[in-house]
Amino acid sequence: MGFLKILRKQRAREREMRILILGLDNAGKTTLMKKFLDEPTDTIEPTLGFDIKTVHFKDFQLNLWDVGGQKSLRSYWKNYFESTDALIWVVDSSDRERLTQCSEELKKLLQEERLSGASLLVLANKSDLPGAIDVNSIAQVLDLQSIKTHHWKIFSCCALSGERLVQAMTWLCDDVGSRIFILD
Amino acid sequence: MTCARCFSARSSPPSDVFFFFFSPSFFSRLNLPLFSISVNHSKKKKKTLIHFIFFCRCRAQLELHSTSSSSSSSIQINHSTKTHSFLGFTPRFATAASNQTDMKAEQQQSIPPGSATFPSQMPRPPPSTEQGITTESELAKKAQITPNDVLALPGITQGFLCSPSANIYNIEFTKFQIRDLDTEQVLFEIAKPENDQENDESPQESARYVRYRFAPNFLKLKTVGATVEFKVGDIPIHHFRMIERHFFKDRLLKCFDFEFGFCIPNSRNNCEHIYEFPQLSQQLMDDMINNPNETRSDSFYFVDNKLVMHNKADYSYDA
Repeated sequence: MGFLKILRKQRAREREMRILILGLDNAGKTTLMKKFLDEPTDTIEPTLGFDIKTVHFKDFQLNLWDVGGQKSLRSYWKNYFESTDALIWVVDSSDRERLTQCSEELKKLLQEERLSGASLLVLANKSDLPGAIDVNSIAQVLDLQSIKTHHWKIFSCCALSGERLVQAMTWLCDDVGSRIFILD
Repeated sequence: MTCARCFSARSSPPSDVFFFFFSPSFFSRLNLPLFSISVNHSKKKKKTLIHFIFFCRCRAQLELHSTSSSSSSSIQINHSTKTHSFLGFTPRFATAASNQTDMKAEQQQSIPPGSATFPSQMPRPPPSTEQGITTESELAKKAQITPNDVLALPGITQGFLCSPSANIYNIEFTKFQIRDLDTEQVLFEIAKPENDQENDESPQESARYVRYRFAPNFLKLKTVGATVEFKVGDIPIHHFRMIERHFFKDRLLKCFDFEFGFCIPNSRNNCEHIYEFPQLSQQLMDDMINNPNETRSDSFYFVDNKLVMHNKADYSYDA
């Protein structure tokens, strides 16, 4: 039995998942995470580093890593790819101007070898805002259909109200769970 | 138990009891002018804040009340509204033990519950009699101390294994919070004020040793979230790892081992660990309550497998 397999077994026993939350700045990554943890979301400031939380959800222990999305920080994202089971890509649905940039950054991530195999959850956040782009258009711009290397799914959501957040996280946990926690 | 392995598959040494921990690293820089501690009693929105103000030795001129040459740093607690009591956080005006003789007894009487002080003298625990793989004196001679070195130590250390100046990365803890997840109450929060000016003085030896005092029912908490916030300087940090070992007398209660991994230069980072506390045996709880300050911890911080910070704390539960 290889070392990796032992390691995987160990993690399976603990049912632990490492989830990396990325996206452009102001997409709502920290708000989303706080909402998911049922913490107050009224005083969120730009994340100038990382924000790590652990939470128990659906029998799993989720280790959520939220890393700041400002342009100056993006070159450091690669330092957090190791052992990532799932990637949550957060999109600001109301930010039409930067949607192309958002798509480019995601493409770069998906080429990363260390993220290969990670499940991809795209969250079209702020879908409640007037002028928000609808989820299908976002999927098109991000060219999600062409992704063959990762399991993916897109949900529209609203981090402030928590709408569809639980459904999205449930899909993610099920997907990762079925992939890495297969019992012998 | 998974707490110590939250983010890595590294396994921690086995232990049969779990114990509340309180990272002393936060206090690593005593040259901070003041901290404010807020205790949130009510659920979520309704906050009752009680401000504790830490006056450190070097800035004590604001409300100096402990002035012997070897005085302890002290905590002044200001609370203007009404007195609350929750889990032993009964606010009271604190006085510092200024008399060095019989300091232990005096401090026990004067330190309020839910508080932290910086005793001027670190009590040296007796050296461990166990024949450990590594001894502290052996380690002190090494040029570089690694995680495996400290994990092999048989007991609590008597001194510090590195000097304050080993922290070349300017790692600075800025916030510490404990919340009870069963009631969603914030039990303890200490934050360095945002507008605090950078102080270039090197951290003092005494800043690395903190004494905590809690009420007995603190030992009965079940699920606790401990948040720590820290800043780092302009050097990128690789493999930032914390190992915290808690002992009651010479018995290892718990070892936390957590790898933060990479820290972006000049970043401010935040991390919350969730700890599940199993019920402690009544016998052990009684022992811990009846032997104040015999519960001790060593916090070791490593960058690239090299020890860069070492802090200590002791705890009492008789408040």
